[in-house]
Amino acid sequence: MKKSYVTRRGDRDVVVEVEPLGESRYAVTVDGVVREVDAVRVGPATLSLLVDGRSADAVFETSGDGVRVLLEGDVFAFDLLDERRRRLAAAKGRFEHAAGPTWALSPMPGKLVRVLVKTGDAVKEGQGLCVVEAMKMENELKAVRAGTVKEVRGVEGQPVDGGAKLVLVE
Amino acid sequence: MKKVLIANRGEIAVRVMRTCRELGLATVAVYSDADRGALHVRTADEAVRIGPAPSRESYLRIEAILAAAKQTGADAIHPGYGFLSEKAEFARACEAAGVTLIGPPASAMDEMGEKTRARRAMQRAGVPVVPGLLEPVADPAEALRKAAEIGYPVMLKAAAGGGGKGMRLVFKEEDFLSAFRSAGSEALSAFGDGSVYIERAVTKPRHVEIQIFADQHGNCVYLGERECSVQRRHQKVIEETPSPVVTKEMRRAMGEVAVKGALAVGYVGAGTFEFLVNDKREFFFLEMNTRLQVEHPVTEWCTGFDLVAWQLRVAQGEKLPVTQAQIAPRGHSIEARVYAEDPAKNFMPSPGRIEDLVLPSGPGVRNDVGVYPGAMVPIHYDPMIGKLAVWADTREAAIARLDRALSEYVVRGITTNIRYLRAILALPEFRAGDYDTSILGRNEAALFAVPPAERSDLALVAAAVHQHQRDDARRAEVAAAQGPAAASPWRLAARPS
Repeated sequence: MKKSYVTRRGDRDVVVEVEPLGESRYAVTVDGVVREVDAVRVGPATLSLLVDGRSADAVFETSGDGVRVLLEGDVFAFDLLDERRRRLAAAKGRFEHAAGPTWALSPMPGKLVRVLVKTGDAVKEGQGLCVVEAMKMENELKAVRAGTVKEVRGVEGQPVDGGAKLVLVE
Repeated sequence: MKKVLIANRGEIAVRVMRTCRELGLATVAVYSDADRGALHVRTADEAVRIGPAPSRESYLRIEAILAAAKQTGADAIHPGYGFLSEKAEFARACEAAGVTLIGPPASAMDEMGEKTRARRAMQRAGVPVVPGLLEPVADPAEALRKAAEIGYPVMLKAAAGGGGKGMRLVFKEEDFLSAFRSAGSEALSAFGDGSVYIERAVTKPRHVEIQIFADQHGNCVYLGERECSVQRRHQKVIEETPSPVVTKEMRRAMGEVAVKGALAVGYVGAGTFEFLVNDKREFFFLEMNTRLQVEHPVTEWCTGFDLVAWQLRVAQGEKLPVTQAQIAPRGHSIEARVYAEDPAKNFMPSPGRIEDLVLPSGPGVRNDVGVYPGAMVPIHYDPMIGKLAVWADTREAAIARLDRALSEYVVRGITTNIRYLRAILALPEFRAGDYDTSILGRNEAALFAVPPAERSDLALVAAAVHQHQRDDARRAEVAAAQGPAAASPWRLAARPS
């Protein structure tokens, strides 16, 4: 069944149509240009592609609506939305505000080495908030915008989970 | 020597075990709770659990490792690199336990392991050193004064360190104290010793090191140099031999100085003299690594020798198999370190499960890896998952070969620096061989350049087909789950009216 997706590339939306032609063949139209694709599964997440005769392997990772494609050593990320998912995303977007309080999250499981700020401190954009050590490297978490520290969680020297809320800046 | 315990993990443990097997030696792995399923455990003949995941409670526990040796009857221990490999205390404990440590004697580690002491010893032996402190300094105020005396820019270094941990380059006095503190705490957590010393920073420095090898009979040779200037945060990323700047005369001068330094401290086994080379091609002793280096495969490629086999033979009292005159490195070799990290997110480590792994192969390609498809990359250890080393007859051919091999490398499930490595190989100054240790910092824009449009178009087409197949599969699943059941006459009949 022919399906149509929309994805964001740079600053504009691009429509991609995929029409199965039987077996492993597809016609894929990007921005009105039709390309003939032969896609054969050669691994659990790997497709061998012939795109108008051009050969390349693509390896995929998926999470939610996002697809990450590893192709010839480069990694590309796309959000491919069909009509239904697009409406959902648009509705969701209306309830999200750009500003507001932001937690600095531990990027991965590790150890909280140092907290560099305390509740009530005014911080500048890019200022270090705390340091998390993982895999022997120290990583400083920085404020994504200027504001005031509203809350600090976690104890120096203690382990933290990936995604743990550490410092709240408003 | 019959059985060797490898007091390490990851690719180096696997690499050592391979040579042991070739020499008919049995192997014992040690592992932490995070590594039960690791490749080194699967590769060994025997394996012993030595403690919980954190290194300090497992791979750094001397008594646990010696107990494992005793339990398995291992008569020798290979320490690999990192962990206990440069701890004189460990060498002494092995001696006391009657186990052969494959490495230099404790006395040589004492001389060379602590960096300020090594500088003094090398100065005495006539090896040129970088100006700076001869002792570590603990008091921040005193350190600040000393730094001003030495003159900025200065380099802070962990006295017990290596591998870039606890190192900071400081350009201005106002940045000194915070750098001093963080270097100290990083050193403490990495090496259990927070002492830091100060050196003048050499401008436009290249990092060139000399591989030496000594036996127990007073013979010592040098096996050429390795150019290690491609570094990020003092972590080596790409290494090559020969160095594009080292001339024949310079190689001999550096080699002879290194041999002299090694003999001065009674060195035995594989060792590396790290030098800084400035833009006038003057070289200064930096430190000695009293162990096998991560980047030893490039030396093995060009000399044709197996350095681990040499280590095992020398530890058993054999003489070096060749003399200096018989060492004639050939061709060019380059190694790239593959890290589980995300260059786009400030090189944040990227641990997790490796879903898929395709290693490059073909002519002149060597892989040293510590993982396999399905392996976990734990959060507790170094993020390097493997090394890719190639050989070719010329530097140009070796660069092309490494790039080709990297294009075949597939790791799915975690993020790696493979794309970043290829971008380094494409830098004009790398290709010209005209670079120093600031090459990566100065070329960020080029290293993170967007890929060609043709490839990104192809990726979009691939993603769309993949998404279509996923949607189809999901529809089929939904149909299979609901369809037949809903339409089943039995279900219809059972429905309450």
